[in-house]
Amino acid sequence: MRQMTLVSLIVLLLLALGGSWASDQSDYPNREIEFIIPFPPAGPADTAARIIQPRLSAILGVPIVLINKPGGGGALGADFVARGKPDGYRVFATTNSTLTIITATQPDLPYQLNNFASVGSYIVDLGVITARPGSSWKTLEQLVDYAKKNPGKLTYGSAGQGTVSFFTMELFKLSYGLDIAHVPFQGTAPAKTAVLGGHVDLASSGFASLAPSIRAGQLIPLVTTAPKRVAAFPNVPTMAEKGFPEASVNIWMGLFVPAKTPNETIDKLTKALEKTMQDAAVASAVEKAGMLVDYRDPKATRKLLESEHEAVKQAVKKLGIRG
Amino acid sequence: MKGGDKMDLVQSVLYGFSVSLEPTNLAACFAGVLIGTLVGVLPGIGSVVTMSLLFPVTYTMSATTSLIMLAGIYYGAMYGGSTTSILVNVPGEAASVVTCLDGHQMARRGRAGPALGIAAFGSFIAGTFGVVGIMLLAPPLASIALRFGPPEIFGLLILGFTMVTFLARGSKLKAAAMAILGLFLGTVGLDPIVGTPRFTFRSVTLMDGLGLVPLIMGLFGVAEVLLNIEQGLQQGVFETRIKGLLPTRQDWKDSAGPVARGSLLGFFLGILPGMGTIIPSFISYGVERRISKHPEKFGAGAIEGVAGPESANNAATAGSMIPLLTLGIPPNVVMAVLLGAFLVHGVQPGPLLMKEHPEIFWGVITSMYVGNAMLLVLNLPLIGLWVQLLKVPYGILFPLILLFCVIGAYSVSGNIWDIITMLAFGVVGYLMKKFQYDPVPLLLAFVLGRMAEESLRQSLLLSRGSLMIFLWRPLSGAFLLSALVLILLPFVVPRVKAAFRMVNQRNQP
Repeated sequence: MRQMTLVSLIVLLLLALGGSWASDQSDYPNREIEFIIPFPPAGPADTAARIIQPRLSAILGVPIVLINKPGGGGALGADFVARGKPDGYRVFATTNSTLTIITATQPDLPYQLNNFASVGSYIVDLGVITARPGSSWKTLEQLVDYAKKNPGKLTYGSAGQGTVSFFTMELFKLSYGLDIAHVPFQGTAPAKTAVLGGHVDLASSGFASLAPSIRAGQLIPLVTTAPKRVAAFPNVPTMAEKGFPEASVNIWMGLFVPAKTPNETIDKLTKALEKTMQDAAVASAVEKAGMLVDYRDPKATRKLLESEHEAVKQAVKKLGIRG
Repeated sequence: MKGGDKMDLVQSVLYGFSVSLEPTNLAACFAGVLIGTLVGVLPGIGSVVTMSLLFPVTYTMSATTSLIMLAGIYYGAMYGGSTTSILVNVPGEAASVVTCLDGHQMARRGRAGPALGIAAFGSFIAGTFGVVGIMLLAPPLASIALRFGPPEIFGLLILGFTMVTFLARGSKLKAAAMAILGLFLGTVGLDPIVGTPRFTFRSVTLMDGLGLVPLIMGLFGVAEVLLNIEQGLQQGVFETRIKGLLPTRQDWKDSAGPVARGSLLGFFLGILPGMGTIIPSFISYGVERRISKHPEKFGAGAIEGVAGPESANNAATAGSMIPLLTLGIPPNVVMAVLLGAFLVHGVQPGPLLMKEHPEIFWGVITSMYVGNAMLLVLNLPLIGLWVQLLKVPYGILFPLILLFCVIGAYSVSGNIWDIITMLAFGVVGYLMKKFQYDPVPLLLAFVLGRMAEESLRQSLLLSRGSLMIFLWRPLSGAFLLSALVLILLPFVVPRVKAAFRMVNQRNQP
């Protein structure tokens, strides 16, 4: 009997605490907010977060601290946020890969897609497939033609098995039914080195990292995974217009919080993010970094997450990738 | 080079100096190298972490100013890193591990001053060489870097491996055992090609493999502290007499070759992807020991063993700027942070940087020259101060070192398991020292093994399984052949000599 009282007392206490904590949320945010970036400094998620940080922090009226928590392809940072208090003070500033890709390719992950609630997505780094300098194919058609006649002769470099650059190329191969050997590298930088040096024939990555070499005429852009043609490179066709809209996985950046975060809190973050992305100075900084502003509200972000997760799962099944 | 180009170069360099000598940029450069020196001195706390921490501070600056400061931290840390290695046998930076070997022995013999002095001068000479190298040869060197695909990298790593096998001290069997352990430890984590988890025991932390910083700080830092607790009051060794603060004429004579070779080697290796600053410093040490007339002095306080590697790691920092500035490719983690700084300031580095943003390209490069001069001026007077540090009781000094190691291990990725890994390797390192197992082969096998596996498998994917790819490619073929010659020489040379002796004896009546 006595034990019962103790238990109910604890429950009451917890409820009271919970209640007071919920009411605390009305003056959210009243202290600094941590942004957890699940990758080392530099790279698209980090750059994107750093670009929006000053404006977003000014709108919210509290400092935003960026914390890089790399490890396990982003899994460590994701898990850290998923397990955090759902109070909006710890935000996951990630690329889509931690949520839609590694959840489909890696077993043993300590978290799932539905551990997170979306605040919104805000920047996209559109993908492009490029050919090495001095290659004989200058257009997509020429490449497809050559690859069909010479199966297994071409090679492509990716930023690693299970990365966006890998899926872009594999979906491209599936679309056209091509046999091109995959050579994985550890990240975008060495893959770019390999295609610039002509060690591999093709490589795919975001425009943010490849655009300077394309503009300098060192790499030949063949096709982009953008939904519509990119303003800076109007001559590059899209996979969608070639009839393969499903082969368009791009790197995009979003903000997420633990699933149990109150809607009110999420709403405040979402509004601040939306306002930040409407800022002309922010948009110009994003473009200078080679990326594009692409704001989506929580609902649209959720939809994108789910459809992309499904597409990746299907691709993983078709490709027979070991998990 | 045509006359017109020469004029352009002179003008560009002068223009660069006009940018880097602006008061704000000068101040940023000084702040960078000063912070870098401190970061270098503090064991475990590395330049990557510091640069990313200071990232937000640079938002308000112009792109040029912030890049000048961040670059200053990087090469400044290479100056500071040797200090801790020499004085307390704990590497201040990962790249200064090899400096412990002879630098600390010099300090034990009362020659801490000359060791610190040659490290500073060597770094300055190498840094200057590197900056001039970038100015004159950045674009052609970048194209050489591009010729290094997976087969060439593999060939180079194997050659590097044979160079550094000469590093093993004491029992060859023990050294081999340690190298194998290092290779094994390097396999922990996701397989670099298909991503299969190996020895991860379902731990997300282990998916990335064991961290290099926790491994180094454990084996070299924590182990040293543990050993000193046990040895207690042996500090007297140092206090006998400190003989001079600057290198003597003989020291200079001994160091000239190592500094020159270290500069060249470090600069070239720095350009290549993934080499970083550790591998160049080790290879430089290996080369010096290999060609030395008195290799037995190495490990017992040979100044060549400080001069070479310290020059190499500094030249490597300059070399690694080349792929970033001319190709937009960061060859190592530190350069990736710099790339981030470029992007946040709305500048995309790459082949067009020199044309579109000459103020950044030439400003940053000339600032490195200015920064190296500042570092020399800053570090020489500090030598006297550092040497005094040896008089701080170990009871105070070592807990502090341990504290910095813990902070450093944690700061890399904010993961508590990195501290635990470091402490575990601290105990392992302590036991290794007790039973006279050298941790150097373990560390080298760990670093080189991972890269070698990756480049070997990439090469085989490129060639669809044919090993001939290593011989078809002239560069990788040449590297592998040189490695073979180096391995065979110790067996062949004594026999040839013996044969000659026989012939000579027979000829004598």
